[in-house]
Amino acid sequence: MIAIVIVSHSREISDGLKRMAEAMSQENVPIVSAGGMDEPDNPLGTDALLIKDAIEQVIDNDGVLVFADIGAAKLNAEMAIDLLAADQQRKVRFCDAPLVEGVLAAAVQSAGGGTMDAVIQEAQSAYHPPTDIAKETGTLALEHSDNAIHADYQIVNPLGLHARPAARFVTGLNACTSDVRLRNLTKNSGWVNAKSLNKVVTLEVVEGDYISVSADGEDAAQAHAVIGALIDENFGEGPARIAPDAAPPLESAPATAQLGPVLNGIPISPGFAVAPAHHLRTELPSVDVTRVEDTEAEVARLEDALARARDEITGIMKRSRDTANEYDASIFKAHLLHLDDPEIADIARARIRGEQLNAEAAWQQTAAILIEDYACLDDTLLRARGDDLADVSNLVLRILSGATEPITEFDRPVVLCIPHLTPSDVPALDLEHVRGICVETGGKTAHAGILASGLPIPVVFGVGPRLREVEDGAEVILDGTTGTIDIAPDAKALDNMKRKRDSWVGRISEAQAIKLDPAVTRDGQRRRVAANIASVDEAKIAVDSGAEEVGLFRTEFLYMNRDAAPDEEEQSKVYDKVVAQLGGRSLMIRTMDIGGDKPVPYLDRPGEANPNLGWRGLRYGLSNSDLFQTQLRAALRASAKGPVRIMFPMVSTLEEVLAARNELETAKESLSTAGRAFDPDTEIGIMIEVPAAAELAELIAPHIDFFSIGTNDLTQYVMAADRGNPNIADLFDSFHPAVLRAVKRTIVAAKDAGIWVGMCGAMAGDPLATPVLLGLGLDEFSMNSNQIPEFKLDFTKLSADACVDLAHETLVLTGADQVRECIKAFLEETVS
Amino acid sequence: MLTSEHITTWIRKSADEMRDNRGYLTELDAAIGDADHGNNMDRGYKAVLEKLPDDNDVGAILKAVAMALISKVGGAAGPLYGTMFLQAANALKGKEALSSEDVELLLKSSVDGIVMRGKAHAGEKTILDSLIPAHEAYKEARAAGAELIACLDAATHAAEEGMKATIPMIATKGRASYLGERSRDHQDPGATSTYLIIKTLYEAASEGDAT
Repeated sequence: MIAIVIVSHSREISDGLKRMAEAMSQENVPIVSAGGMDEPDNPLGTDALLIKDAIEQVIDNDGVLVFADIGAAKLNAEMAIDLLAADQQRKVRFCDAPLVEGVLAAAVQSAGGGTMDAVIQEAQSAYHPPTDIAKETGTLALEHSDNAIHADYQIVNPLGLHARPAARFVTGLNACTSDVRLRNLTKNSGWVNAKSLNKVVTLEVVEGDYISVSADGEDAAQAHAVIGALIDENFGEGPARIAPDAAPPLESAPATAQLGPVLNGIPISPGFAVAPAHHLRTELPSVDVTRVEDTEAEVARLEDALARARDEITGIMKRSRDTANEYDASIFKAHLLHLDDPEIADIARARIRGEQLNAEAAWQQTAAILIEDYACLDDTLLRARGDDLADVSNLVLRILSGATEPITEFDRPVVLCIPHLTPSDVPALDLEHVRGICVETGGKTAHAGILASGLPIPVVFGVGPRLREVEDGAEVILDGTTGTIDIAPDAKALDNMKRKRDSWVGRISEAQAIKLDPAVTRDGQRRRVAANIASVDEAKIAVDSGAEEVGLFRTEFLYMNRDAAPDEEEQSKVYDKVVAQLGGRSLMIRTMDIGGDKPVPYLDRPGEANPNLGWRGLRYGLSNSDLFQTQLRAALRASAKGPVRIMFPMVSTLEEVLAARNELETAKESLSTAGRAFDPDTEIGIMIEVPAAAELAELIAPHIDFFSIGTNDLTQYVMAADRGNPNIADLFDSFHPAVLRAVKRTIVAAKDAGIWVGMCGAMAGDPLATPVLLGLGLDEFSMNSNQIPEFKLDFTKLSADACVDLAHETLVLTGADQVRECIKAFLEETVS
Repeated sequence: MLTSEHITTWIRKSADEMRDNRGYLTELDAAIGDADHGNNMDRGYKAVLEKLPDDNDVGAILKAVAMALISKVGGAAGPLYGTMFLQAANALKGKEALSSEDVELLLKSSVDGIVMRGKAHAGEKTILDSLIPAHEAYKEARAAGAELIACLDAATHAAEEGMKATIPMIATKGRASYLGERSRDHQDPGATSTYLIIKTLYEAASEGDAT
């Protein structure tokens, strides 16, 4: 094994890099951090004697490789080697390589048993400009014997073959003697050496990509077994997918086989539709590559197509502005920016002139590279921007090739079935006749998903390729609330659904008309209606849906699908954007609830037997002060831009609340010192989701400004019932009097202390729960944006006085079903 | 002859100069480097004073100086001056007094040490621009038959001129090279501290009546 010594001017850098390298090599490689100086007043620097000691610590290995950062660090590293005894010097080499990339590559190569030369070579090739790599990877050929074993795999772990998963892949294969080659099938790359970390990461294998592996040698079967095992254990990244309601939504539905007459997808927009299925092929005409003589005429064709595309997008923009949705218009502004992006247009022009390419081929090939770049990004939101670019690129191609527009007008009602929905498709939809949309791909965070969630028709994304099996013209039932499509309904189901739809359509138009009004009961009681959001884009949707404030901004998405935690600036920008979108409405920032069912690989958290009862929410924040402080400072900074509240999740005790207050004070002090503006009176509060906190509510209330009840977790903990376990689904019920009593206790404690209390769990948006919660005295109801219009519609029909009596009645019942019956009877009696 | 006492006096005088010129060296470094040379040298020589051995072996004294500078200076000057003194210590190991020829060896091995560690040449705006002229002048003076003190006087003047000659130079080594053309019109802090080291060697010899 080749040991590694890390030299940097900063001890923090060498310590941090050591941890990263150990994580990537699964702690198999001896690594010593020899950064900084033992000078309290002057810790930045390097110390040859300290480096020498570090080398001597690991000199018993097969060899020692020393890495250094800038200038004097290298001099001191060389000095340290010179100071060693002659027999020791022979085992030590200095490696001139980029520090971070070099050490990580070396650690992985060493963990796989590489020789000194192999480790150095790997470290030194650890950094190349991306374009060089793209050229390199495409050119290798597979030269394996007939005995080679070949297999394809799909990579489904969230990080793909990057960072630690790539390291585990390479380390595992390095234990085999066979020659192993790898290519990215999805991206149609060339073959690379599967034992080289650098080469593997250049393939940019992301979640969902297929790879092809060829192993040639005596233990070829073992090499495939290694890969199979890694994929089976999901590269140690925890579950492959995050549950849909666990904050950032999925990009596509689980790839489980769907049998029977019902297809499942991701619910995007609620509602019901009954209509014949209509498949729309959005495939583009194939582009032929031809050589042109008159390149200037070809450039002119491209310019003309770009101008027409610009006109078309401006037209769509205008249409969406007419429908009073400025937010949509802003997305098309982004489209125009793509269109005017010199990166694409200039390169395309240059290719026409330089390679005598036809305009279609030049444009398509240039755009494809950029779209590919977006697709490789780890950030889901950025990746979605690639869809925007693809949308623009396709529009230009359609114009260039003279292809007609996809049909978006129909003469009869249809349920659209399409492989992919682009943002520009959404406002172009013929809502007269399109009753619902089913899409093979996509998710809630894609631009198209966010736009579609505001549509007054049911929309389901991520149905998968089985959608193609639905017969054209066959009558289907689409339920946008559950995300299901009944592809072969019988007459009775059709009849039921049509009635359901008719009453739903009536209700929707009524609700849309009053959505921006305040929620006031028949007897004049007003309550605040708020939205739960989990991304910047949803803020505008919330406002358009009639939210008076944001009652829950989940911040976990900031931490997920990436390799390192976001810094203060990045978070601050996100919060500022949301505050700006809300236009003076209050924003409730809930500090990170990492843990439980929301794994974040780079935080390197220990596995927990019982994650929901584990190190999550505020518990994790308090023991990771740096991470916590960064978020608190960013959140406080947003309070200078508009009204902000800060809420801590997963609180059990008063001590935790006091500790959180202290952390907040620290953050305020550090902002004051840095001269950063914030509102010193920013309201702070806690989630009530742990029974202990509900029990202690009257003791905690005097120390904070509000409570917000999280009913999903509260129900799970009060009832001791896992919400995902079908065998005890009856127990997981927020209507159970045991849960309602905890809610009541919380509200009474809040009233006694003079603070307000809200609810941001699923129950807050459940129409059946509204009268009881109103009767118990809840001040704020926070729900998904698309529930707000109907919530307000129902709310105005209630009498607050009557609801107080109802609430008392339900609390003395013994079961959830009895509570439901009681509420239903009440509603029938008093409302309709 | 320079006795081990002369050498100890030299080191103490160098430490005084580094203390007195801390601000000046840092100011020079601020113009073209990272503004720490004065602090680093002062800290290094303070550590040297604590580590000075009660030993008549000049090699042992210089080695102690080298090790203290290596571990305490921090910037590039640490390994550079450390190597310089280490090379000199190796060349003069076991000697309790230095002849005129030994002092020339001290200067030569110093140049070798800096060249080896810094991989630099004359004219690149570094320590070498005062150290190499000092060595050359000493060698010439000794070849012309001058006494030890006169040789060191010549070396000091050459070091001073070499130091001043760094002003119009463009740096191609070290941090100052990042500035390229903008490193012009500034005196090199490394060449300056080297001049102080040579100057104090002359002072220690002349005040201590070396013969």
